[in-house]
Amino acid sequence: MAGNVTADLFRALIENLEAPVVDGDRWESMAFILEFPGGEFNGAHGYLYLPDGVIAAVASDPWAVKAAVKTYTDGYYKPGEALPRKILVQFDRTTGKYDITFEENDEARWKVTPRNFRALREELRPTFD
Amino acid sequence: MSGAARAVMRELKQAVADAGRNLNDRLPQLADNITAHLDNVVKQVRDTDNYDNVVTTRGPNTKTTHFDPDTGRPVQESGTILDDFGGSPRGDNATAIGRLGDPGDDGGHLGAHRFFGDTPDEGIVPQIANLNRGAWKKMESEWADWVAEGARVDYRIAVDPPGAVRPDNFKVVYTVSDPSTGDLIDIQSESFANVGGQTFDRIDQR
Repeated sequence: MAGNVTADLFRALIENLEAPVVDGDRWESMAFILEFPGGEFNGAHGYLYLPDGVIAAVASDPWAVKAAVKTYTDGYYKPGEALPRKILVQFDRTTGKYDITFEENDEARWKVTPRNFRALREELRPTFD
Repeated sequence: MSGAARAVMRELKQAVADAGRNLNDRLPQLADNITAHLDNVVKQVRDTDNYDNVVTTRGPNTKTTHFDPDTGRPVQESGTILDDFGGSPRGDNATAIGRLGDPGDDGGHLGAHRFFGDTPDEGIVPQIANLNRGAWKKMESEWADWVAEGARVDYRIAVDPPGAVRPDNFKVVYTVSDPSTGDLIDIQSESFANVGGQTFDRIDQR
């Protein structure tokens, strides 16, 4: 069940991308940050990692993925329980491995800025050693 | 579920690997759909034939507001921002348009006054003050931060319901790119309800 919910979340994120990605179908791994400012989901954005070092910034339609996000979080949080600040979803398509990290407190974590965007997209690249 | 319990779950590596293999079987076909979805969303306009539009420019910044000709109210706005002009005297009808909405509404500029100056009525909506002066303003400040670093911001704002006198929701998609190379730096897609309490995590430039 949990796997299906997770797969449905991944599917929603990918199927509802809002980004001009060239050769996007060649992606090998992905990292998405789900944002819950104020305790409500309002956005999902991240990166697709393509061969040859290409990294594509992407975002998903928040209205389109909202239901899948809610189904996923409902599996971990009881009604009325505070949602996390952010959730990091990482998936390596070549190995099938994934990881999901809950950030409960730090709203600044994984924040893209003019100073850190190059380092951040490498930091978020899925690695499962 | 507690954080500790979640940690335990996340350590179930074998289960994760099994589920991952399952996902790997299911996801490749999804990738085939990506390109089809990847129109240049910032330029995308829904049903443009049904709406009128007005173009606003200020320096290198330009935006196009599509509006319902029956209501005069916006459906969608898209724009490009390369410069931030900061604060300046206001001579548009923002206050009057705010009064079209609920008590406590401001007249909120879809594309900020700091970027486009005085704005045609179609580009201004009744927006609850907490949003206009809070999360929305923070988002605009973030755009200004990127522009200050030499980046280009392209945005599209969808109004829901389209053409409503007082919108219930807004969806904002924006890209940050390097104007010298065209390289895409970041893309965000955020949803805002036209109610109090909306938040936006402004970036820290440093």
